[in-house]
Amino acid sequence: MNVTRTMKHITFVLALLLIVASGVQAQEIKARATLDRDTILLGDQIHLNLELEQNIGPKIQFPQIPDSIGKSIEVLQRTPIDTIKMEGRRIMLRQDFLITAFDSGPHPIPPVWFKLKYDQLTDSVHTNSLSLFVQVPKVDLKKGPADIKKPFDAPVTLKEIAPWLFGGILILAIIFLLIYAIRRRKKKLPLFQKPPKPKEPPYRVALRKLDEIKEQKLWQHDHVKEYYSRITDTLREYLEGRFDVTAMEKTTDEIMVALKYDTVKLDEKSYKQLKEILELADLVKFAKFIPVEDDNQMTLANAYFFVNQTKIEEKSPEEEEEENDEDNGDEEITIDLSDKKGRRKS
Amino acid sequence: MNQSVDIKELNERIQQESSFVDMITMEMNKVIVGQKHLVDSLLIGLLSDGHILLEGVPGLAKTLAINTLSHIVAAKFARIQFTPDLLPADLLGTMIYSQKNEEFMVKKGPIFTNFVLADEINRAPAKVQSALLEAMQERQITIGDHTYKLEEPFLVMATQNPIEQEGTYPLPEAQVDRFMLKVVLDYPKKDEERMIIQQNLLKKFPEASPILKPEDIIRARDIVKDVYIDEKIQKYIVDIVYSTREPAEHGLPKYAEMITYGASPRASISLAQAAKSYAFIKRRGYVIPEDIRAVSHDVLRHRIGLSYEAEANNLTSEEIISEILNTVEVP
Repeated sequence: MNVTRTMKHITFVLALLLIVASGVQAQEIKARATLDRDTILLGDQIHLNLELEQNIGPKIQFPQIPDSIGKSIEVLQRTPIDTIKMEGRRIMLRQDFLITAFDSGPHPIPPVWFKLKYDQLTDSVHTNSLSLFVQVPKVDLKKGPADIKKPFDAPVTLKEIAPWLFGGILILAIIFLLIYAIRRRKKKLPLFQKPPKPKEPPYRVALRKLDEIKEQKLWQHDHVKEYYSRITDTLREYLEGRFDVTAMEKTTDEIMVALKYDTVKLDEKSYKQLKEILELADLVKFAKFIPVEDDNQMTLANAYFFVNQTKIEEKSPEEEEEENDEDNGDEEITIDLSDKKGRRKS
Repeated sequence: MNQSVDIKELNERIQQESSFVDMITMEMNKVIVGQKHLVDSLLIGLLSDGHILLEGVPGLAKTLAINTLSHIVAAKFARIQFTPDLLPADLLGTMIYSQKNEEFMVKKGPIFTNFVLADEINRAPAKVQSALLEAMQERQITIGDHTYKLEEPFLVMATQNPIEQEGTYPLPEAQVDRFMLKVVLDYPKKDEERMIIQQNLLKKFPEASPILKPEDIIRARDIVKDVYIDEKIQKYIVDIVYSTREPAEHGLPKYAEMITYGASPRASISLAQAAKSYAFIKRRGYVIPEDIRAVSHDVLRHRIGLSYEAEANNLTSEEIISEILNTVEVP
């Protein structure tokens, strides 16, 4: 009787231990299979998700899912096995499968087995089984036969359009370059050019050229004709820049008429001086006239005087910058409206 | 101031010899009211030994002008009305058989004179035009076996009527080129026209007096030949003429499609000769750019061929010449 009672106690304790042990293991490892939905249309695609949740420790052999599950379910894509760290010492292993089926009716998805390997012990755990139901689209027979629907266009990805996009940009760039090159060529300009330097004031150019003429001592070396030609050319260029008179294409008479009756009005002295210079130069240039030394010197002196008398003081960009630095913008600017160009007074 | 001797001497000679210019102008102005440009052009043609093509509506004193000029110079004058049935022999002359002498005799045509007015030259057929233009160029005429030199001075002033185009034979470009100047006549100004009316109503037509002999003109021509033309001026002439040939290369790309052919080397020669005569008229022994510009329109207007595109755009040779003169740099 006592032996029987003792055996009952031992059996009870063992059963209790077994129950507790299996409960602990079940808490440590959880395997789960889920579907996005359990019903799809024929050929529709859904995800099958396998998850295994466990403590860090045992090595797990993830199951190799073949390309088809059962007879009818096809595996289209599979993601790599993803490991997610959870709270405490727990981790989750996850893999996602894109599946489809082309046979209507219910299709069971059997449990998936995971192999667990402890130090000297091997165990296994499985997921729940699932069932996928594939429906056939309802056909309204009353409507009669319908056209076969064209396949849906897959959404365009950046990878697909990138070559076309870059190709298009490249072609547009080539066309633009070609048009640019043709236009430059028509204008007889080089393909690439440095930006032009800021225009030098006409009086500076004229004074510099007159200095050059003086230094070269042309009339002293019997180049009288060249001497007068260069003086008149310098003055005519100056007139173009200063008074907007197309002096290079005008004769002496035409220049004098333009300066007297057109928009430009010179003072009497400057006008007379210019007339004398141009008329004397015409005699030298076209009538073999040889002036005396005094005339040569006087002509150049008059040319200097004319330029200085009629010039508009314009500062070069560098000078303006320097002045701005010094004055910090306290300069007073007055525009003389009676003249064609602005006159700057400091 | 020291003036180089030859120009100084030339200027003095011109001062002496060109006094007749004012007299001619004065006498012409007695008879012709206005048309100063025509009178100047006649003088240029006379002094440069070049012929003139006149374009203008009837009644602008073309005949009167050349008639008066011939009267002033005391030279022979003939007016030939060109018609479609005119024959070269009517112009140049022919051989006629003399029954008295029993031989062929030369009957000289009206072209054997000093001043010829070829009225409405474009009404005569091409063979008559060619006969006249050949005589203009060669200054001689061959009738039968004999060649006859034409008298000097020999000046042909041909007119073209720009209004009527039907039944005309426009002068070919090569023939037009033989005329040194083409002068376009315009209507007189209001004051001038009023004076013309008064003269006609009063029937008082002043007559020009003969003040020159043909030899005086020939002597003046010799002086005109001596008028100095500097190489800078020659270069200016070449630049202008080249601009009519290659406008794109001379800063006028817009006219590249408008001009089918430009002025010939004969134009360059005419431009230089006419400028010298103009300088002589202005009492100068040397040519200046003003002289070139003064004669450019008359010398070049008939020597530039316009394309259909130019005609479609109502572009005239006058505008092209003006633009060229405004583009080519003056020396």
